[in-house]
This record gives sequence, structure tokens and C-alpha cells, in this order.
Amino acid sequence: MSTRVPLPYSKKVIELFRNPKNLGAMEDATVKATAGSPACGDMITFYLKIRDDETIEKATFESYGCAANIAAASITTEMIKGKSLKEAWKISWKDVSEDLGGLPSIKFHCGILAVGALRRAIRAYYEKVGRKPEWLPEDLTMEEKQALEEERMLEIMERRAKALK
Amino acid sequence: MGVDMLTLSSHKILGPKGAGALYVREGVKVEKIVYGPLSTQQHWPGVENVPAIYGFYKAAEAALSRFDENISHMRRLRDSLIKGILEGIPYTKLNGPEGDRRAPDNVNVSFLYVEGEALTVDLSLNGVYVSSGSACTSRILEPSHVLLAIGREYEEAHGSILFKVSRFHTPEDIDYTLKVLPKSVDRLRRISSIKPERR
Repeated sequence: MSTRVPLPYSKKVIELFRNPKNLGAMEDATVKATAGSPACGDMITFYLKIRDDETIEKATFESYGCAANIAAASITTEMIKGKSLKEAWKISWKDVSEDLGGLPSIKFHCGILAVGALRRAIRAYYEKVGRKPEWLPEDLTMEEKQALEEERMLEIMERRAKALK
Repeated sequence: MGVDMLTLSSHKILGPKGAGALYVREGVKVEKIVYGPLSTQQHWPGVENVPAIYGFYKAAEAALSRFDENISHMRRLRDSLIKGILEGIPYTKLNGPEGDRRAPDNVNVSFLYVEGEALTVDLSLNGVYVSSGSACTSRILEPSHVLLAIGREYEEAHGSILFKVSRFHTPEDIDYTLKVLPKSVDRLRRISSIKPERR
């Protein structure tokens, strides 16, 4: 165990960590998406309820991860409420970090994971309804790629660890 | 003990950080890993951290006085904490052996379905200070290599918490910890996206 130095978490992060907004699974969600994995120690699941006009009526989350991960997931659900999918898509990890009062650099990956999970949810919606808007990029964005890389890397490490046992 | 070399850390015996000791058996040759001038002895350059070394000496002195009494005291606290956790909180696993083969001050437990850093923050907000072997508590974002080496899965490392008891702790401290801990674990399990019933 490395010596733990208490992280300079912002007030907002601690506040959301203590009282997360929009917590919990959604029974009647339109879509659900997860990024990260338990093996990573970093995982966020978003549930979105989307109206016919493609605006987000309700968003909730569940998260397995550090305090910053929980706060990032929670703030993201707040940020996207009422927005159109097109507007929600534009949210970057920097926006998430800013809304949290600034994440310490070692915790940037939490904001990135939250955006990765959100964009997965948006893509899942369009797959479900069988449509593809022109603003939705074909290629994965940076945040989505990061989530994928994290998930794949752990897979590789686990396989190696199992081979050694 | 029949060892060639032995390291001792000041902070592990409640001394100040910044000092340590290396025992090298006579006849064992050690290569330098840090180079530089101002060497007063052959293995390590630079000026000694005298205040820290003095603190280390005082800590050792204090640790050795009433040694057996302190060890028994720590073992009792350690064991009651371990028992309280394993019996009172589900999905927990003790890391390392019980009893005599276990360091007297060490309680290392994996809490499944919870991430370690979040638990350390929640506990600290409630006055209990611990550390964790999760990747998110490490500066290099990797889980405890020790836990992985003894055969724990990644998730178990991410959910691990290290409690240390000392001669200064009391049974009341253990009771308080056992009051606060289940609530923290419960709260974080409710937030968690991995749940036992979904597996």
C-alpha cells in the first residue's frame, strides 16, 4: 500500500460524495450503459429516460469507484437533465471536471469515464430506435476510447495473472 | 534471524517519516543505487535527516519498553476488530493469516462490492483513518501488488482496507470503528454498480 496523502478534493466533490444526486437504478429507463469494470476498480452505469423529442427526462447512475468517480457520475446526471441528446453529447470531461470545482489531475480519468459512459448510452439509444443523426460521429471519441482501453487492458492483465497461477 | 539484509521503517513503529534503517550482514556487498558527493558513509550520499533519525530512535525506545504488554494489547484489539468485521459485515475477506503468524497491529480486509478509496474517504469523514490497496489510492493507479501476489483478485484488492492498531488505541476505538464501518460499507454498496444479487 502506498502512503496515502489525502487528496485535495473540492467541496463540491465531497458534497456529492456524501449526498449523491440521482442515485440508483431506473426500472423504466429507455437505455442503460456501463463503462469501466470492477476489475479496473472504476465503473459507472447510467440510466436515461428519453422523451420522444430526444430530450433527457431523467438520468440516474450507479458507480463502483473512488469518491471522484461517484461525484463525476452524479454531476453528469445533473448536467444532462432536460438537455437534448445532441447537447448532452457535446459535454466533455473538462466540463465535468469544471462543474465539480476542478478534479485533481490524477482523477481526470473519472471525468473521462463518466463522459465515456454517457456517450455509450446515447449511442445505445440510437441503436435501439434504429436511427443515426448526422451529428453522431462514426468514430469513437477520446473519452469512449479511453473507457474501452481501460476495459481491455484489465482483461489482458487478468489473463496474464491467471496464466501465472 | 539468519538474514543477509533487513530494512526497518521509522513510521511503521510510530516514528516520524523520513528515516529508516538497513541492516547488512557482515560480508554482504551492497551496490550503490544513489550516487552523489557529501558521503559520510559508503552506501548513501547526502546529509542525514538528523531530527527524523532521532525521532526514529525515540520511537524504537518507546516501542521496546513494555514490549510484551503492548504486543498482547495490540493482538487483542486486532482480533476483536477482525472478528467484528468478519462476523458483522457480509462479503468480507481477511487478507493474510489469523493468530500468531499475523503481525500484531495489522487488520487487512477486503470488502466486496465497494471500492477502497471511497471507503477510506467515507471513514475519514467519520473520524476513522485507514488506507487501502485499491488502484485509486495508489500514485501509479495500480492495486496492491502484495495482495495480487498472495492470490487475491483485482476486485478484492480494490476493495481492501488496512486498519492499524497501536498501543495508543483502546477497546472503545474498536467499538466506535465497528459502529461506523457497517454504515459506510452499506452506503457505498447502495451506490455501487456491482451488487451480489446481480451476479
